[in-house]
Amino acid sequence: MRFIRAIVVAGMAALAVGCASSGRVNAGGVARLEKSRAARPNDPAVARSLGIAYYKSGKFVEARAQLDQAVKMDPRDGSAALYLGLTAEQQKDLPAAKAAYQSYVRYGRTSKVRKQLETRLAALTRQELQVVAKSAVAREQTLSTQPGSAMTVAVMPLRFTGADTSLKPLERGMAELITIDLARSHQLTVVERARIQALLEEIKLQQSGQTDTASNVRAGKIIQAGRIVQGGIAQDGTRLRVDAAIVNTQTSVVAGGAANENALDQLFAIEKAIVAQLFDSLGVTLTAEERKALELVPTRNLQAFLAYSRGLMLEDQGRFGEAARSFYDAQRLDPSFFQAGQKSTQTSNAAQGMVLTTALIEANLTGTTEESITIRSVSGDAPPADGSGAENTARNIADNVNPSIPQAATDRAGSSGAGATVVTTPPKDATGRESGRNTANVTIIIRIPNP
Amino acid sequence: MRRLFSLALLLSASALPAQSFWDASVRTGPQFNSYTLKAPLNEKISQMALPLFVVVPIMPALTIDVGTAFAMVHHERVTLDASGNATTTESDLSGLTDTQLRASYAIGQEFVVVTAGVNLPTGSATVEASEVDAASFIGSDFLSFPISGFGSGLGFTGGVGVARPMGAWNFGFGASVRQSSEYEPFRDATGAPTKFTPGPEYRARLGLDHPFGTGRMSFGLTFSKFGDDKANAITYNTGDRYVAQFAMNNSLGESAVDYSFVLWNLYRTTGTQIDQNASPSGNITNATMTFGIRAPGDIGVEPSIETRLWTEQGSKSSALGTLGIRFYIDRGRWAIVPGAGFSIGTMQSATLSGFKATLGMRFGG
Repeated sequence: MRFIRAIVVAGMAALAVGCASSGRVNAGGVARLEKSRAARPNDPAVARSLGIAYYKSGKFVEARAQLDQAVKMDPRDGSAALYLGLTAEQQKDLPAAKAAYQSYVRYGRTSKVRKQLETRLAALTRQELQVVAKSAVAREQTLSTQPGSAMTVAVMPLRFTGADTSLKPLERGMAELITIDLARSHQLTVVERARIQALLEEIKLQQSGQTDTASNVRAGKIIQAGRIVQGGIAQDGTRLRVDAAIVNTQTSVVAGGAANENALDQLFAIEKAIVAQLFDSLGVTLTAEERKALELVPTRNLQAFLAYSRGLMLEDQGRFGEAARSFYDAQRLDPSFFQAGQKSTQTSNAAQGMVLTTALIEANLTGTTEESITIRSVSGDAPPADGSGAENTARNIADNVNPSIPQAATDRAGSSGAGATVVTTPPKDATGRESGRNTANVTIIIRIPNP
Repeated sequence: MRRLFSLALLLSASALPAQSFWDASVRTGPQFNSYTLKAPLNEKISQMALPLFVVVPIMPALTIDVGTAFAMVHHERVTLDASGNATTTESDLSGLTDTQLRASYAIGQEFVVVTAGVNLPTGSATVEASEVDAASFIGSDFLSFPISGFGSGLGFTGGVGVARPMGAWNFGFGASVRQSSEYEPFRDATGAPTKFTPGPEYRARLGLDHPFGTGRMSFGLTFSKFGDDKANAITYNTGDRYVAQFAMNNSLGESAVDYSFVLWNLYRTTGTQIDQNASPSGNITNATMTFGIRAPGDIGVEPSIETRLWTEQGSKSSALGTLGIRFYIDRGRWAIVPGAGFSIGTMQSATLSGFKATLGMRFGG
């Protein structure tokens, strides 16, 4: 259902964008905020408002500077983090956008915005892999001259051959399992499978026709892995054979390998045998704890693992909605397969996040605190105090010397459960300035002899 | 720990200046407070209060707020005669309180806030003889009642708050004055009223605050000077009041747990009683520790512990301890904060227990 929800969400967001206030900024408003900023250089609320006003004016460089400052001064300001993320997205700075959105997810106060940003984060994570891969390929000359550590290993997708094409997704699934198990050794640094895949896709885009080995070695060099693991899965009836070779990326020479053959339903035993041989070839000795961890398998259900592998393949192809459904199927087949559940959520989020734009995120702010802050900023009003500015001190002081009893009484209900005081006001001030006078009244009453 | 600080002000608009009409908010907080004082006092006092507070921003710098409340107070006293027979005397008081209308205007960069208020006598200022017991208890400085009186006649207040940043610190100063007109606080069993003319009240406050971790730390000192009051032809004075306050809030590391610690001390100097004898000086010290545990979905829970010590010249000390818990759901445009607390302690020579339940609500803002 999640991929359907993604479509519905996208549709609703598209509708909402038409309803959202455009928030046109006038020059006078920006000037007023700039004046406020100059007068209150240490106030994060002013920096945030000015940053938002710049963002709404399309001045992303200026917006970035102000919002960076606002977040630096107050790391818990969700609104500043949100607009910093939006600005960074406009500037195509995905890592910065991700960091800012993560900050909002942690500190932001509006749950619907948090949920939306979680989906956007999943999408940005995918996009970031592609950007990083593209950048790495562009810097191939430099990166290739810096040999990677022999203990840094990358596992390439295995090549499937056989009549049953439904087993082809095992190319990704088996690589994922081997990656996870090799990473159990503290001696090895194992490159994340998704990073490798993004790099291979980029290489493929630039140079089709290259052999698998050539592409793999090239990817290994770029990613600065000293050794790569590559190989194949061969299906023959109900039997499955897996061959893996360890290739030195600097020399392209095969330096060890592993092979195992068994019945298809013994897939996980085959994988464990391959990994054990690979550790030997890599010269890695496992600790007792690591050996114990190696016995763990994410699932013992072959159909669930096949569904999971299909999900990986679809995810690699950017078909997140379908991938989410496959991962969901995997977990349905084996409810204890929690990695499948995780991937289902991630890819479902990515499917929703991929269709989100900054405009849609802004449109979703309707009726939130963030929208209120945006409207103030866009109109050039002095920013609201958030507890850190001197204006807040002035207001608290003014409130303290001239309080309202009903205000204090309602605050009291919203303060500590004990309800005795409002944090920022002294004792009887919490029940109003009248207390002194009322006490006087009571004093009269008490002191007057009862007739 | 901006979070807990904000939560403490979850229903408060005062520290968050409204900027436009659309920031108008309505706040209410039905609350029930009850105390039972054991022998030798043998008294029970309870109050059900329904305060209502509306904040309407007229323009970015100008905000009007209106507040009133409805309250019901019930008091019971059990007395034993010489033969041990118990007699229960009840005293009840209920109705609307005065309505307070206040305007706040921020000058320039909002470092100066001017306030002006009027106390509209919509509540009954006059207490009948049968209501004396109920009225006396809710005005106690020691016990916590949200509504400490129903009416105090027509009155006017004016005040100003000024702040200046000094490095990482904000320094603030404020002063106010209040003048009330004559009213009748008491009418005896024969219907004869007491004419009461309150003297002016002056209040001054110094404040200092600065960032502390993810929250803030603040200090405050308030001085209240009361002019001479007149009851019929007699002049007397209730004594001046000093309130010192310290508050800090922060997060526990990177966790989703915030904490707040608030300490205050109120000292009232000796004054003159209506019989021209000196009134006793008194002191109340209060400390509150609150933890805020955030959960996903804009909800959280805040357990708290509060202790209070009251000493008065010539009287035995009183102490009160309260365990409280509150929950909150804050959805930005609205917030609901149910809470409850249980108190135990002593009031002079009697042990006491108390219970309170609150339901804070905010809409808008």
